[in-house]
Amino acid sequence: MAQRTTTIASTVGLHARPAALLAKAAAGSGHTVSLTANGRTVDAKSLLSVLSLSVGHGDEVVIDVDGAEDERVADEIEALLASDLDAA
Amino acid sequence: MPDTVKSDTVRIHFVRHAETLFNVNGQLQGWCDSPLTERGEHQAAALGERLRHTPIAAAFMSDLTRTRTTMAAALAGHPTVQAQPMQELREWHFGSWEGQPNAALWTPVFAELGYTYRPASADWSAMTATGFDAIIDTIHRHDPLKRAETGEQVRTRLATGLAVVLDAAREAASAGTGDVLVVTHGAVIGSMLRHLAPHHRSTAGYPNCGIATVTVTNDVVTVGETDGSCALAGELATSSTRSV
Repeated sequence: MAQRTTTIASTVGLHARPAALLAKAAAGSGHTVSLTANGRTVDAKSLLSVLSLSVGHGDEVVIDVDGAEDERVADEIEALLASDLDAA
Repeated sequence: MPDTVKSDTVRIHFVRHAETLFNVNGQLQGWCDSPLTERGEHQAAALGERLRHTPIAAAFMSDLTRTRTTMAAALAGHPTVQAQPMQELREWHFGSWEGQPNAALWTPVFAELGYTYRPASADWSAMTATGFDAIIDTIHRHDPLKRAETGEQVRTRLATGLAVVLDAAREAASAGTGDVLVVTHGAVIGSMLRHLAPHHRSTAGYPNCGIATVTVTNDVVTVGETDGSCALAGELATSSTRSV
């Protein structure tokens, strides 16, 4: 299990396109990826679940990854959330 | 529009309540209750017909009278669906201006933000370009009793309500049981759509019984054009009644 804590760089928070990019990356990783924010933990592969966290710009989130290459995937997800996904 | 979708896709229909007495009178409703007008009853009935063949897996509304009565009519063709009332889905709370004429609040709020208030002002989209906090916080600041909500309070409660709606949407998508219906209020729909799709802008606002459908797939969130046909149906029905 690998864990990272980061803040959301996307100026619109983790909504719509940024949330979709995260869900897609989590689903494509082949690992179990969960996201914790505002007291809730959800499966990062589900766009609906990610949207339900209501994560805004600058909010802190915790990423948990489980799988064969969890450290690599955790680094990738962390880097994704620390970039302005809305501008990507 | 097809009435069935793939199981990995879910639609959430955000519907504004039918026309009320306060709408006609030009009064701020917020958390106040006011009854549907005759036209509003027709709009709600049209909504029920519009949704009759749409599969509804779950339904949510604010706990105010106008959304409850609108929802009851909306579910005319879905007698087994139990709609869940939620305080979190209430309209913005306008504090001291609840029940007052619209202009009493909006004239000073628009002025402070550099605009001139007119009913159905096209400046609303410019005023809310970066979100609703500036407007809501201005309302709160002007409220002598400080009972009006702050932007943060509105965001927090709407996030709580939306999380419940999205959880139901995820279950509906997973089980392939249908769409999610949310009957709420104009400013709340604007806030929630902004949350789900930050770049979405309503060009014409949300008419009474207007339906704004959000489609969520594994990859993308899409907001459709607002369907205002039920508002128009109410208009026609009322005109027809008057002519008899």
